[in-house]
Amino acid sequence: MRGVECRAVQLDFGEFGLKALEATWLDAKTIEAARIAMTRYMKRGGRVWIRIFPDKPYTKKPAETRMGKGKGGVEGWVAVVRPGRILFEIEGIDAPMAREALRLAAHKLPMRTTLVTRGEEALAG
Amino acid sequence: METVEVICDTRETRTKGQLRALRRAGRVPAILYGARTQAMPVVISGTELKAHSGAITHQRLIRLRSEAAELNDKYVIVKELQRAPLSGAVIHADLYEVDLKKRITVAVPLRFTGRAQGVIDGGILQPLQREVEVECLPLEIPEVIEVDVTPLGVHDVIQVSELKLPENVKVASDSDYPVVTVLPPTVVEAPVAPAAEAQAEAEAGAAAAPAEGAAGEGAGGGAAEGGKEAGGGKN
Repeated sequence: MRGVECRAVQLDFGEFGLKALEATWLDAKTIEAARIAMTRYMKRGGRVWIRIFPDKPYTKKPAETRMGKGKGGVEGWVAVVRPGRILFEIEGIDAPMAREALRLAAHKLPMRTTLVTRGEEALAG
Repeated sequence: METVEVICDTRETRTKGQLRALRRAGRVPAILYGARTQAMPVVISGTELKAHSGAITHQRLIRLRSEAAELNDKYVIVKELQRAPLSGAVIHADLYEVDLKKRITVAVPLRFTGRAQGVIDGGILQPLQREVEVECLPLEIPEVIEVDVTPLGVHDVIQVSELKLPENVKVASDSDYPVVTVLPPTVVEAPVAPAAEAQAEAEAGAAAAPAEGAAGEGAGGGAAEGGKEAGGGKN
């Protein structure tokens, strides 16, 4: 996958966020796994925004099938993630808790990510 | 209000390659324009940007320092910043020259102070706006507007009209717009969801077979167990 993300590249809702540093397809169950890891740790506090949605279908041919005879059926749905995309945002919990929650979510994801905090964006020339 | 001083210079570089070389050298291309000023390409040092990040990211008054007479002593605000999507580094800035005697509309950041009563009760403080547009003279732009959220209970809202603004500063946006609220406490999700599902299934089962009350209860109990198992499997 080529290029970097140009939309949803900065925090728009929460105080903390998780930013993708690599391109990948994220399927619905991976996003859900990351969300559950995060919300379990946060327990009652905080609010979570998911900035990606798996709206792209991907297909697969059945096992032991010869080539041809048309395209395979829809196997699942993925979100296309390019470097720079904010994946999750969190609000309403303190910084150490938010960092830990996002770290746990990052461990469920198949690519490198970084934590971003509102007002601490790099200002390098 | 304290005015920030930034050293800048005129710029001849226009092409994509030249601008990239400029950025590699630690400088940031910018454009200067205003109501009575013709657009003029300029360049700012990256270290200057870092040093005055507060003024750059928020619309504070900046005084330009330059060896070029046409740039020196001009008062500007940052109208727009372009950032690299991955690193967040500033790649271009729009500088807007202001007339010190004319009122302008700028966005001023809000700072929420205190611990809201609703948060103590378990709610979540939810800022709905993080900056507010105000109209004032360039020399009177507030650095930040403080909002005391201490009396805010769950579902209470502070509106733009309730903000305490400095003298000669007026809100430029709709005064009825909410600024901050406290959301009710969120319910722990994992244990509640399967139980609710099971209860719904039990109710559905009871409705389907009203004559066989005992059978309906049995089906409900089975569904409840199934729901719990499904929840456990999810865990």
